[in-house]
Amino acid sequence: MRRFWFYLGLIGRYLGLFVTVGVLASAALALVPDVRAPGPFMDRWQENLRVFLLFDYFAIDPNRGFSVWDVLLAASWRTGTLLLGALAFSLGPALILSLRIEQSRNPRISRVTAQVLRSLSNLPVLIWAILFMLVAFQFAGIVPVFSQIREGAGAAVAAAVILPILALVLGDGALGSTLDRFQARARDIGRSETMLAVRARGLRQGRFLVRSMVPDVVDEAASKATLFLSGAIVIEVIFEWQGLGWRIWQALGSVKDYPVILGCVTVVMALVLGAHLLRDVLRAAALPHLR
Amino acid sequence: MELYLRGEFSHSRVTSQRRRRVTPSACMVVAFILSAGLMLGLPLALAGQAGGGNLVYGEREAMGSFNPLSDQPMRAVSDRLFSVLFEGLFRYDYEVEEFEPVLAESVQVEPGAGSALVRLRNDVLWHDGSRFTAEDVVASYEAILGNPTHDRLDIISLVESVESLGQYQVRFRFTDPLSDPERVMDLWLLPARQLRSNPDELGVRPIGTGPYQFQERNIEGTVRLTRFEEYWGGSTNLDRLEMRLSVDVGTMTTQLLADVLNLVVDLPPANLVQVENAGTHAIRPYQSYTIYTFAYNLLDPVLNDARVRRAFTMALNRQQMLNQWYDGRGEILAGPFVPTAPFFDPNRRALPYDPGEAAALLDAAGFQDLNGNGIRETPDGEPMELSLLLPVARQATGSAEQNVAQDFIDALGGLGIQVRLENVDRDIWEQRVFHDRDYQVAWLPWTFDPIYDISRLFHSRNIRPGGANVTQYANADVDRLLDQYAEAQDPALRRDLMRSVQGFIAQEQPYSFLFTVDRHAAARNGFVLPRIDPYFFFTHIRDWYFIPEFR
Repeated sequence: MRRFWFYLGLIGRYLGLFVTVGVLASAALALVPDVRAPGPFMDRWQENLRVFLLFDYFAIDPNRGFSVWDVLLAASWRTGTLLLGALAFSLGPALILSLRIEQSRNPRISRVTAQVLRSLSNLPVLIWAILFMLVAFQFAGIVPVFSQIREGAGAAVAAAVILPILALVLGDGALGSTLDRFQARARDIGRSETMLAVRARGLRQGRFLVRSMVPDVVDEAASKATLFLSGAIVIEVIFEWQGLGWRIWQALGSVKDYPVILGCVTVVMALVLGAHLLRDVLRAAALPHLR
Repeated sequence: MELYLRGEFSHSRVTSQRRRRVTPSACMVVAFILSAGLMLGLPLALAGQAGGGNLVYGEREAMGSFNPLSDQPMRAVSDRLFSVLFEGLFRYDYEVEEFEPVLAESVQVEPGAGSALVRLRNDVLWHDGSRFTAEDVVASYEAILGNPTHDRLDIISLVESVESLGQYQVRFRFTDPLSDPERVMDLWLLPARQLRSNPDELGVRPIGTGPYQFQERNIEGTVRLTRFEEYWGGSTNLDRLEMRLSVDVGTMTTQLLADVLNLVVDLPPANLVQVENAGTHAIRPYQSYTIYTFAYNLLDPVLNDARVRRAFTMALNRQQMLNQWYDGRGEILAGPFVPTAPFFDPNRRALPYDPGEAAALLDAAGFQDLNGNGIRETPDGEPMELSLLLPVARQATGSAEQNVAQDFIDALGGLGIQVRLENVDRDIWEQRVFHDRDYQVAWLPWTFDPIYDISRLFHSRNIRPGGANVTQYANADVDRLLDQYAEAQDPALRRDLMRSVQGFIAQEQPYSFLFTVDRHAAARNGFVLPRIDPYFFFTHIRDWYFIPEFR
């Protein structure tokens, strides 16, 4: 029963945060003058709140050709894929390298690899994106934009999937900071008294090490999801990956599409808060004393 | 790839201890080598064209509603597609500078030109297979005349009524006599049945009579049109026309060079060199009928003096602006007409760049720096300060506007006038300039349609909110000349009248006319575009084709 109330409280806390941020975002959007929907601030805020709270996105607008819901669904799927890919490509290698460095007797290759990745990770996302785009085009004649996933073949499809994800992983120091954190944590665990006991008893160290690092991995995934969402806007524009960031950028064009902007903000908010909620739930499940 | 690596990792755990040590690191190395290989150029060519005879072109803005009679603002991206989906009774032909009949068979102007009788073609089908009749013309004009905010209302409001006289004949009645009634008959027509029963559906699934019919619009903003086999004008060369959305100009250019796109209709100057250097694509410059101006609000006490406005124009080094920010690809303007426009007066010279003369004009108008602080004062003793309204730039092409605006501020600063830049969102800019007239000086590019009707800008009847006379220019002589022009039949007289109008405008400078900038289409070699329409671009698409070996 205590556990039930704990999780209910956790969900309630994030739901409250979601609604609070949504209400504030609705107000912020109502502050932006919109000549197509003129009126006092309070009226426009109310309208935005109605759309946000009732999720009123299903009507097909002739100016868009689709409902906001259709647009959000397609965009969320794409951004979600990009995020998951980036999380897998950053957390996976960082975890493996950290474990190898801690466990191996001669971890030279792992150390060098980690160092190289850390250095590469210092460049901004924008630079990586442009670099990948240029290099793919100049040397392979490939334009790794999203439409290639459907219409291209072979290398063009692979490049259109992998390069945006790689740019996101390598840019803005994301991979470097994950490596630092995992390596430090693996070292701490490796030198802990519990680990000494594990070694003394001849138990499998790797298994213990991995289990001990689960909370850190979950924690890192949640915080990196937020970071990757910011980077995704740049990636989506350059690689024409028509996710939430691209949609916001496009909706801010000469013909403003405020319902799409509000919808995208709502979904981004839900993704960030959802990632953090998941982190708290998993941490609580893994570390009972937190409950 | 990610799953494959994971599989390898779990497999290695059940093998020897040594292999367990090596494999994960090796996997990492292999993964990154593979990724690097993709980046650094696996020598694989792209897939070829989507298919023979399919034209794929790029746009930077999404298509809005497909209903050309809805009250959405006219936008180039929409107009280009409308020009292949829809047709009007007449269409302006730039080469012969005349209207040519499209869905009309003939027009008979009735005595006094207060009305015109139009006979329609009887062999035209809508894209849904139904027959085009007089009722469709009546419904289309009723739709636009009933919409007080439509952009075309300045012209279409010259039509008082349209009545059906049988299945293939209509009578237009005009509010004033019109010598060239064809200019109000280029409205894109829609089927009466859908227009009256469900106009919103036409915004999503359009039905026209043009050579291409709507196939689909997907969530990514791609629009596909297919050849309309029952087209009354015969067959067309290209099977399909596809518009792809690409918000980043750099990415669009790369897609063009890699043949993902066959055509870009308006390549910014900054990206031209890259395409030119590639040597695989042809650049086609075309006159756009776009003029760049600074508009002055003539009801402002400072700006209602023509000497002040002339001084501003003479203080601007327009040639340098054009060279510096538009790569010199354009021409300086003396008035509202671009050199290829009808009624362009080649003898009229633009005001020279002469800051000394500009300062003298301001002195003569009573705007002098009497207290020696470097800022001129108005005759009332107030410091001479102005605001310049500029829409926020988002695209690469927009940065040139910012630079030109800064040049304006610097040039007037040199004359002792303080100019404050008001960077506002494009919606707000439109509202303040076109509806509220809440501005002093505004950056204002005008793009004219084929009719090139400058009376919209200068006739006092268009001072109304939403009208195009945003400077609130009112001159009884100009109104009279424009009215005479509308009624005149003789081309020489019309030319003389329009040149007289240009004389007044050059004298009074309600705008500082800066320059027109060439547009550039880029198409892959092997795609032949004998003619490009400067406004709608695709008007002559039926003559375009791929050379077979390049398909």
